[in-house]
Parts: sequence; structure tokens; C-alpha cells
Amino acid sequence: MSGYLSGVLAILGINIIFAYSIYITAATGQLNLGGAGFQAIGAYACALLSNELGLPIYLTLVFSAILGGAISFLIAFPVLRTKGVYMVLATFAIAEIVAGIILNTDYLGGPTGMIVNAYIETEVVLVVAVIIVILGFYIMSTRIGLAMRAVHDDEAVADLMGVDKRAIQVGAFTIGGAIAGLSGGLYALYFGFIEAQYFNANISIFVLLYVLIGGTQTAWGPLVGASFFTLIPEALRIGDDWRFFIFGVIIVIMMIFRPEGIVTRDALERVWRQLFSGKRNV
Amino acid sequence: MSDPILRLEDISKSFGGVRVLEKVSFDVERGSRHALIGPNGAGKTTLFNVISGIHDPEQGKVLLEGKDLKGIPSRKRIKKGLSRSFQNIRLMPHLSVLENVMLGQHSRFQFLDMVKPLNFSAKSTGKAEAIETLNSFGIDLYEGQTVSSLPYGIRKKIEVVRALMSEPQLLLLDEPAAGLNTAETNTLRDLLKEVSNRGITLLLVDHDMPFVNSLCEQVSVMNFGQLIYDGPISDLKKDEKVLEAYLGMDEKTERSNA
Amino acid sequence: MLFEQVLQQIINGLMLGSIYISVAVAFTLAIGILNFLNFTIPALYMLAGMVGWSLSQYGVPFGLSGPVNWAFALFIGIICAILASLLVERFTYRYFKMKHGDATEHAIPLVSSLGFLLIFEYIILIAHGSDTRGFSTAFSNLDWRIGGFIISIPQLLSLVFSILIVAGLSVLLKRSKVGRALRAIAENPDAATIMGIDVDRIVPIVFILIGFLCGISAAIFAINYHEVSPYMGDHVGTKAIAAMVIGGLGSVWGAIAGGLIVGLSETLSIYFFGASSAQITVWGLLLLLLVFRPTGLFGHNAIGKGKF
Repeated sequence: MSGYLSGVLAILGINIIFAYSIYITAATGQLNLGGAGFQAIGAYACALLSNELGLPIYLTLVFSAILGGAISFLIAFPVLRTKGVYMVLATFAIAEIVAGIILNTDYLGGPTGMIVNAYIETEVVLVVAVIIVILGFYIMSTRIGLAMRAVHDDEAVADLMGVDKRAIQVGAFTIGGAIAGLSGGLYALYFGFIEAQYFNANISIFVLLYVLIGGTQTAWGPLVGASFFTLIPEALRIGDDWRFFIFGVIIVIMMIFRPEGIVTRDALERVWRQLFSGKRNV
Repeated sequence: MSDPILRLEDISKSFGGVRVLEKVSFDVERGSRHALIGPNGAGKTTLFNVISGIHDPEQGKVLLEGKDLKGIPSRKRIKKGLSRSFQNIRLMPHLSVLENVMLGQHSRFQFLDMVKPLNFSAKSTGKAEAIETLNSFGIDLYEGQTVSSLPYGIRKKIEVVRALMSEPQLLLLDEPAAGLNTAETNTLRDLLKEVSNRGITLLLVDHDMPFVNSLCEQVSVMNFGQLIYDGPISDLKKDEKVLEAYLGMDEKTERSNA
Repeated sequence: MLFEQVLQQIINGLMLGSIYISVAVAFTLAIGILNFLNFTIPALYMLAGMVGWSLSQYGVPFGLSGPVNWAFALFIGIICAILASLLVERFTYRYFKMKHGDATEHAIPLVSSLGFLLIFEYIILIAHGSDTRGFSTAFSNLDWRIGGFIISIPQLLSLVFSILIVAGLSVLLKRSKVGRALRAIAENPDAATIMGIDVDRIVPIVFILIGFLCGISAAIFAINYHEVSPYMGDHVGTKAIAAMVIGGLGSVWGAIAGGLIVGLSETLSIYFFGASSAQITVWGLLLLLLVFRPTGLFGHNAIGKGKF
């Protein structure tokens, strides 16, 4: 594998994992605009555990996920009190606070960042990405996934059907935080250097857009969204500025023609019908 | 007449100082087909919301099978045997027909069955049963489609089926026949009679009097938040209070009442 | 001495807050009237500043004119912000209104506005790079010293000016016919249509106001701090969002109070705890408010709670 290709694949893997973290909450109807904060938590946890305690890579990754999940779980209760725009803003605030705390903590390197001693190959990122994608599909294929989508569509009716919407939302938020932490840990280990400035509002916005453009109705959405926006610019070999400009144009156009995202249930159903030209149980 | 499945005792509820329900009391007998009628704004839907736990009554008790439902959140009432449909169809727009119906089963499953993939363990997750039910009601044709594109009558039917999937003792139906044409109403009536024959008690709100007349034996009439009649449907037209309440109403309802 | 220094910081904070006021009002109008969290607002702000700078530096492109007078350049910058805002209206709000009947559904306008944010930001980055540019105006150093305090006159005028504009706006919303129509739309767009309000003609007014407020605010920033940059919107945008939430979504006077509070807590936090602490203070304050008093100081209960 060439260096360039392996670099692109690693970024793709990290983006896909990150996208699933946001997707899990979005599937219950909640927009998390603070992804970068949870990713930062995982990245710094991983870096510290590796540098200070010399833990093996796999353990540091597990702890990134656990810490991301634990912090998400704790803040899920106050955050999920908020709704709609307030929830978007609250998660946004959390990411800003996390970045602010890192910038002000000398132990974490403050604004100068932190070098990570341990190192992983692209293959590790890809294996973890595959596991997370399978996990995402698995969750959405169960009754829990069904309940999550029901909460997304109509909280009140889901509640009357016996769905514990609070448990579903807190659970989704926690799992999302854990996966975001994991993606941060992978980022830290792969790039070997982390700084608070990287985990900024733009990162949170991009990952949310991957998910929304991919589509929140099925587990295909984040996979398609993250891959599309990571690979297309690479294929076109365009500069960073143009890349984001085109990204913006695509979003505006997408919202006009396919506001529910690239992959929708109806589209999937049509594709399956054509492939197997018969009735199919979803 | 001594073992009501649902007993309402002096239910009162107001919104912003307006009394919507005023000491409403009546019983719904086990296995009966009970209608709740009254002019728009009489408080029928509010009463449904109180029974299903969306609103707490300010006064009074809701007794299901003799047990007070006070303090039991709406989410847990379905496990007590209470299920309902809605005035405006409230199916999940992004779920397929089958998934909507499966959502109705939610309360019957333990956590361990909820984390099994539906496609690979159709039996233990209830998927097989849901498909069977759809077949038995003749709506299997649509099972993979999302609901928004389906005809109104089919959606109404799916909502009733969804409510049935929790295996309720008491089914609350909020205007099931509203917006249906004659043929669809007849199908619905047959469906509900079949449901009733399975031993499920029906409490339904509707404005379509011929439909109510042909389905229900018992009727409670509400007007301005108060119960003005409670008894067999055959005696309804003899009751002066009811006639009085309905005289002020618009022509259409009056005619269908007559 | 400490007391006087703190007082100086308070003055600086209020001045800084005056920049946030107009942008916060722009956010609050979009949320309050259209239930639309408009993320293009920071980009509109930046656009006005950068277009102004570009004109004052190079004049009209392709050498059609020499450098333009700074005041006129900023004026054109404001016009650009208004036009950009109308572009956003055309392709986000109006389009979805036509297509779905409800433009606030599924967070579509919000996502679309994030797309426009990227478009505007990166157009400027492609054209001018990412450097911070100096912007020289006639007011280079007009400080007013009273009793040991330094008050910059342009800043003071800006503060007064911002409050006047917003106050005027507030009166407009209360008294005028357009204002009444706007409040009717805020209350219930469908009912407003039934009552004979031409929503399609009134809504662009909101976007014009948004563009105008962002442009004015950017001009004030450029005059006071003598610099513009492609990232100027990000900084002000996040602070203005905080100001809006603190004041309460949809409340114009709340946005003024929120802007001043954010400005104050930012400068005081920097003074007492160092440069990068402001981020924690401002956002911490905001998070607490969101959770415990989501209506903010003056907000209404119903705004922004609709589901996505």
C-alpha cells in the first residue's frame, strides 16, 4: 500500500467511525453539534495513557471509548433536558468548553499540543472501522434500533407504545460519545500529534453534515456520507479551500433535491426490489 | 355489570383556567363495545389523554381492572393492557408498515430479545408474528413500504392493527372512522367486531352515528366537559339532555344523529 | 488601582459587547420569527468586512477602479452582506417553504445554512488567503481620557449606534405594519397566511435585516479594531450565539443584554484568568443557562423547541 493511499484510508476510517458516533444520536432525532469535543476527550485520554502509563495500544483505545462514553453519559442528563435548537447549542457549547479546558491545562500541553509516543498502522484503523460499521448496522437491525427510529419520528407515540425514550436517548448519546472517543484515540495514535485547535467547531459541523447528507434513516447513511466526502475530494485532487467550497455547494444542492440524505429507506427498498424483483421483508 | 375493565371516577381537568372535564364518571364493562360521543370540544380526546396518561387529572381516579393508574407513567400503561389509536393518524412516517406494526409489540419484549437482530431471529423478536398478523388482516401487500404514501383507509387500519399488537385488554380508538368512505367504514366495522370477538374491550370516540350505532351497545355522551348520558345506545334518542345538546349543533352532525 | 483596572476592563467589555449585539440580534430575529438557526450569519459578517477591505485595498476587480474610500467600501460590504443573505433566503427558506409547506422541518434550513457558511467562507479564503488584514480608517486613534480611563470614541459611538439601531428595530417590530406581520408569522405562519399576510414578501425583509445587522456590525468592528480576517465571523458568531441564548431566543432586548454580558464576561475572564479562559467562561455560562433556564433572561418558552 502506498503511503498516500494508506493515509487516505486511515482518514477515511477515522471519519467513518466518527460519523457513526454522531449517527447513533441523530437516529434518535437529536443533533449533536459537539462531536469534536468527545473526539478530543478520547484523543487526549489515549495520548496520556500511552505516554504516562505506557499502556498497550489496545487498552488505550478501550479507555478512550470508555472515557468518552462515561462523560457522555454524565452530561446526557442535563443536555437531554434541552430540545431542538437548544440541544444543538448545548452540544456545541460542550465542545467549546472541552477545547477551552484543554487549552488552559498545561498538563495537556495547552495550545502547543501534545506528541503521542505510541503509533498504529492504517490496518488497525480499518479493522476498528469495520467493527464499528458492523456494530452500527447491528444496532439498527434490532428492536432497539426500531425503538430509536420510533423516538426519532414521534416521541409521544413511541412513549405510548411503551418505548422508554429517555433510556433510548441517553443510551444512544452514551454509545455515540464512546464511539467518538474511540475515533479520537485512533486519530491520536495514527497522527502522533494532537492539539486542541484541531478539535474545533468546523470538525463538529463537518461530521454532522456527513451524517445528515448520508441520511439518518438507515445505517448506510454515515458510511456513505463519510466516504463520499472523504474520497470525492481526494479523487478530484483539489486543494483544501476548493474542497470545502464544493462541499458547501453539494450540501446546498443536496438539501434541495434530497433533503433526507443520499440513502433513504424508500430508495433502498426500490434498489432491493430491482435486484431481487420480488417482495422483501425489511 | 359488576366487573368493569375501566372505571372513571370524578375526573376533572382544566387547561389555563378552562374546565375541560368536569367530574366525569362512567364504567366500561369488560368485553363491551362502548362509544363516547359528544360535540366537538366536549372533552372526549382530553379524556382519552387522561386515561392513557398523557395528562394527569386534577381530580378523580382512573381505575383499570380495579387498579388506580395514578402515578403510572403513560409509557407503562400499555403493559397494563391499555392501547390506543389517535385522532390524526400518528404512524411513524419513516418506518415501513411492518415496522410500525412491530413497534406495537414493543411492550411485550424483554431487553434480551430487543438486542437480537430482527432478520435472523424473526421468531423470538416477534417479527414472524407481526408478518402473520399483517397477512391475517389482508394488508401484507404493503409491509415493506413506508406509510406516508399509502391510502388513508389503509393507514387507519394499520394504526388499529398496531394498537392491537400489544395484546391489550382495552383498546381506545379516537375517531377511527373519521375520513373514511362507506366501504372503508364497513371494513373497519367488521375488523373491530372481530377484535371485539377476541375478547378485547373497545372504547371509541366517533362522530359517525350510523357507524357507532351499528358497532356499539353502550354509549356515554359528553357535552362541555360533563357526562350527560351513560347507558345503552338504544335508549339514547329518548334522552332529553342529549337531544338538547345536539339541537344546537350543525346540520350535518344533527342529520347523522337522527 | 485594581479597582480602576477592573473598571477599565468593564468599559472594554461593554465596547466589545457592542460588536456582538447586532449579530446576536440577527440570530435572534431568524430564530424568533422563522424558527431558523441561521448559521450563515457569521459568514455574512465576515463577507461585509472582507469585501470592504478588498475594495478599499484594490478597488473594483479587474482594475476597473482604484482603491475605494474606506467608508464607501464598507457601505458596499454591507450591501454585499444583504445580497448574500437574500441568496440564502431564496435557496434555503423560501424553497423549502414551497416544497414541504413547513420550512422548519427536519432541520433542512439549518443544514443548508451550514452549506452556505462553507461556501461564503471558502470563497473569501480562495480569493484572499487566510491572513488577517489591516484596515485603516479615518479614526486611527481617538481616545477619550477621563479620570485615568481610556474610552475610545469610535467604540463609544459604536455602542450607542448599535443600541440605537436595535432599539429602532424593536420599535419597528412593535409599531409598524411590517412588524405586526412579522410577529404574526412568528406566532403561526399558517394563520398569518390565512389572515392575508403575504409571507413570501415579508420573509425576505427578515433576511435583509439580518444582512444589514451583520454588515453594520462588521463595519463597526473594522473601524474600531482596524483589522479584518476571513475568520472574523467564527469568533463573533459563536459569541453572538451565546449572547442570543443568554438573552433568550427571540428577544431583541435580550440579545442586547446578552451581547453586553458576553463582552463583559469575556474581557473580565481574560483579565483575571488569562487569554484562553474566556472560552470556558462564556460557554460554561451558556450551557448552565441552556440546561437550567432555557428561556434565557427574556425569552419565550415556545421558541426553538420544535423537533428536528
